[in-house]
Amino acid sequence: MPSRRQTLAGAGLAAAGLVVGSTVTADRSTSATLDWPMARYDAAGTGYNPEASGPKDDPTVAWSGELESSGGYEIDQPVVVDGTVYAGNDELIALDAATGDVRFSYGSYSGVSRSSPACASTSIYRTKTLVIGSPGGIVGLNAGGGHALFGLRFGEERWLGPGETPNSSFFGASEAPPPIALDDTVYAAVPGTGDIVALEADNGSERWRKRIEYEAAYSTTLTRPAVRDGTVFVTGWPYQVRAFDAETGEERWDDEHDEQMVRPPTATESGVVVPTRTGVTVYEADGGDVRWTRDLDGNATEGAAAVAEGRVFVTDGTESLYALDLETGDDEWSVSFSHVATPVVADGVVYVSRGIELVAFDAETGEQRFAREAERYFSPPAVGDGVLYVVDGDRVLALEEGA
Amino acid sequence: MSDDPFEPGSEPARGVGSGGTESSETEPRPNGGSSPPRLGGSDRPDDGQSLSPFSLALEQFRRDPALLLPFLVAGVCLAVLDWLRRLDPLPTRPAVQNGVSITVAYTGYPTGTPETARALESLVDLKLPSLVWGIGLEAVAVLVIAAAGTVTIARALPEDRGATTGRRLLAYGGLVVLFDGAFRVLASFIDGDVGLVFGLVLIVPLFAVFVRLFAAPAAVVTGSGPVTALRQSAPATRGHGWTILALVIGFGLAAWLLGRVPRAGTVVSTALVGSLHAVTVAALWEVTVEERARSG
Repeated sequence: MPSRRQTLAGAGLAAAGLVVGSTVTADRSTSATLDWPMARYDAAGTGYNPEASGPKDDPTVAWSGELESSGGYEIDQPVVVDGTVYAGNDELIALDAATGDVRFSYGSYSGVSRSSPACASTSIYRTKTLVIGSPGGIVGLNAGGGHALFGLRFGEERWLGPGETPNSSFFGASEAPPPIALDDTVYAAVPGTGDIVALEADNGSERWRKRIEYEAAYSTTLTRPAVRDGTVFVTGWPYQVRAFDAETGEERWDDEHDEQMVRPPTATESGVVVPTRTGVTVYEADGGDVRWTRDLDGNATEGAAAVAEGRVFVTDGTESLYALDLETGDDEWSVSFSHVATPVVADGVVYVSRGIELVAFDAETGEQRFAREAERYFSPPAVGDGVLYVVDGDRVLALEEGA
Repeated sequence: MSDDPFEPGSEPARGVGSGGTESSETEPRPNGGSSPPRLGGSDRPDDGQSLSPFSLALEQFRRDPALLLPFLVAGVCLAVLDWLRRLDPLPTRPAVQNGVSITVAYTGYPTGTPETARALESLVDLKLPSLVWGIGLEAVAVLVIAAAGTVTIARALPEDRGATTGRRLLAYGGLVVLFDGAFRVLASFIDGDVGLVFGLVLIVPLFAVFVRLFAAPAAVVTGSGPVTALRQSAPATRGHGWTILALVIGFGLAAWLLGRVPRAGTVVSTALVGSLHAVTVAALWEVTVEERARSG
């Protein structure tokens, strides 16, 4: 079988396709909107955009966009970049953030268990790069979607980064955690390994790679990393907490948490927030000393914390959604909430999806602002300029304040 | 058993192409009655036995080792291009996928196995300077291989048939682009794991096409345009199917194996496999010319 990679470029074909592509791209307009460029908004994973706002009391559907399939019970958070919403279950689809019209879909990734994308800027392309984690590896996609030639999409994939196909299990391939992007660098857990990697957003080449080791017989399962002030924070099943220099990959500190099951970290100016199965620990970003630990008597296996205006918003997986003081860990408020979830915060409102319901709480008091039932199952939301973008089964909804 | 797995019971072709559009210059021509094929302008002794194109190619190398030079230079150029691809910020991928157990690295025309490749998809939406650089690099790669192929095949053919001219060099480049374009379109359809059954369904016609188009580079060097050369190749390969199939697999395996040589894989595979492939194509062309002459 001849190698598919054994190919030299046909300059004529390339020129034809690329010239057509230039024309199509030039015609594509973008509407002004606030970006939500990756899962949990930023590289630090705060889930909080100080500029953004969503509906506060009585959300109505501004538009509804159709997806190819309804997905399951773990639906990825949509992202918003340059007026385009990227969402989907089996297939990643780009929709106009203003109207919900489908712009294009990434057909090559149909049926692939992939993560939410992260948007990275590049120095060599005219369009940004979306990076996803898929079972086969980390993939760089053209945020413009490439171009349709003779009914086929061309130019949607830019590069294929590192990754190993994980061993199949009865439950299928586990989903790769979402990568994060900061300027022209992508940080991601390498699918199928216990490695954390820093990649060039331009071409997917590795700047550095580090293995998070556990006992030799077991592999560490990494979560979404967090980056702030030149340090990459990584957690992995079962106990691992690590900090690396973002530029060189040199390890700065490490900790084996007492509690099995550490959840994804959130990096803040006051330390690294690491939710665990039963509670929350905050580490000093510099040396890894524990600032405070709260035992919430929880039982959460998933979900990260959002941090906004000096408060940590986190679910315990059994009974409550907490707002904790970032400096001390003291309760600000807590409300009944029995699901594992990752909250997001905007303009004084905490939005949290518990699958069949999307609930909004006042960030100051914990008072419930509204609750909206799903037709099928809600993803965590992304927040724009007065709009909340959320996947509900086979639909993407833009929710705005009712009249 | 027929010597052609893709055309049972076939006879040597009596004509070329269709519609009689080829010029007389591009017609395979007899080189003198019923004498054995002559390569590189020098007659070899008539021993009364029919040698395979591969044996004729080896004999040609023994007489004229300089035939290795063009693809040796091309290999060095491709190695420099490998280095440049790794150095520049554009996405690069291994030319042959890592981790596969065995690969037949055959592309349809004489070449080696470079270490790096660049997907056309990765050039889409590049800023203009990067786009010019990316296309320029790939165009140089095509030109280098086209030049090496044209010069080697022309030298291996009799002087009155093969020649290195600008037009033929351009036509050879066009042939390389056609092969690559077809590969890339095919790759876009079969990206991913196609499975054993579907893979076999794909492989059989693919190799049949490889066999039928084996002689196309020689047709180009004798003066045909790239599309005409593809049409001429099919009749020129009839009656030699099994031999050519073995050559295709052999060259593909050799290119893959030599391409795995650390650091020197690009140069070694291009110099050896590219040269041998090119001279074998020339030898096959002469053999079929002779056969056609004999059959009237």
